[in-house]
Amino acid sequence: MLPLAAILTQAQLGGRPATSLSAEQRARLGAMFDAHHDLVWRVLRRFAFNEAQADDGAQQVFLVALGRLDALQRDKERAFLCATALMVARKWRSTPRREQLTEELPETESSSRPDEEAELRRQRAVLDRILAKMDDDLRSVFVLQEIEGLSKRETADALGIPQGTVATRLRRARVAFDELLREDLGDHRP
Amino acid sequence: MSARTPRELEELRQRLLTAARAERPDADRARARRDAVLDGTAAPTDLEPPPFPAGSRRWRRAAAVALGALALLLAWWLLTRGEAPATVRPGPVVPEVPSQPMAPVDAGAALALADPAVEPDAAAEAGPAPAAPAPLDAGTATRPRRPASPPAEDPDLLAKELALLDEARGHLKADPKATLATLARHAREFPRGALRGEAELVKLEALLALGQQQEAQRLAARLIAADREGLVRERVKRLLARPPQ
Repeated sequence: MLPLAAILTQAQLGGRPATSLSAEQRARLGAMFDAHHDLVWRVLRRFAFNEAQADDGAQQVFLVALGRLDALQRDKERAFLCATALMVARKWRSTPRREQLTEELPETESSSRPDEEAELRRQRAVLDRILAKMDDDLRSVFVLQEIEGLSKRETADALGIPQGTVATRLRRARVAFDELLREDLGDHRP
Repeated sequence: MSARTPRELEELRQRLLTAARAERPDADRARARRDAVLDGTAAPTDLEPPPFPAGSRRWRRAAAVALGALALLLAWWLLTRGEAPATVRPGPVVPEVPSQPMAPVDAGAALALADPAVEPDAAAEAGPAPAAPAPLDAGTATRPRRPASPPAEDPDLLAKELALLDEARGHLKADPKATLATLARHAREFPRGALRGEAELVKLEALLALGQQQEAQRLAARLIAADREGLVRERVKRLLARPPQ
């Protein structure tokens, strides 16, 4: 297995080693991880990362955050982490396919019943199939705001665009999503 | 197949979104990643942070720097009070003079470098500031007094210093010589500035960009020697390991 980390990293650290963190900084990073890791992981999943790749990608995101811990305002954490996740996704997609060999992990055990879990997986597959067909600008806004519930301001911060542009893109993204969903229903009934 | 009504479509959409929101990473794997990040055992990353609203970040950084400067001042005061009148005043940090004591990033190293008369051990003791410093011995009584004037602690001054440093950094890619010139200006305008340590790192980048390897190596050695807490060591090594642009 060639983990994403091996592709995205070199022997160099953007910030500082975690061992040099003060207790307070370490506590903050831990709290940030606990609060937002799932969000970051899901954002990566919506950009076509399999589960193992999302594990690696999310770790990259928090390593980048580690290097900017002092400069990062607490109310901007989610936006910063999502911006970093999108950057990781872009970098990942620009990596030649032959290097993207990260293996799929065994399916995660879930507390849901097997049939429920299977249905959720099927629905997510439909969703990801539709997202993959969306323009990147619309997809980013749709994933962050419509799916993950970031505020308009957080989405604007994460994407580096004005809030008005976020609203416009979200409207267009919803229209595009519905069109693609209708199109998808012709072959795949969710 | 008949077309779905808008309501049906909306319900479908919501089901898909709900399924996405319900997805979670494996808890054990997530915990392992968390530990790796916090323990420093995770593979390092060379990813630069994404563009992000910079204005607020600058002030956040300035505030952090102000706190650092205050800590430095406290350590300085604890170490120097009760000393003899000044006989030698250490010169300001001028990056162009390699033999000059450089600006360190931590309090202990700062004292050791700012004043050659301060023994490294004494400087190290300044790290965790004692509540009541031990009485000075005969050796310390003969030490020259360091200037009482504090480094820049005024937020405005810090902001100005930060802006100058940002300007220097901004020249790095296109014109490293301009970076050095700006850093020289920084050294003149903020001889005891709180960001001298960071300025030295920027200078190291500029020297490497200009291919001035010997000068860069000398500076790197000084930075590492001054880095008692290992805060700078990794950055220095990373810069030295970076392939020529």
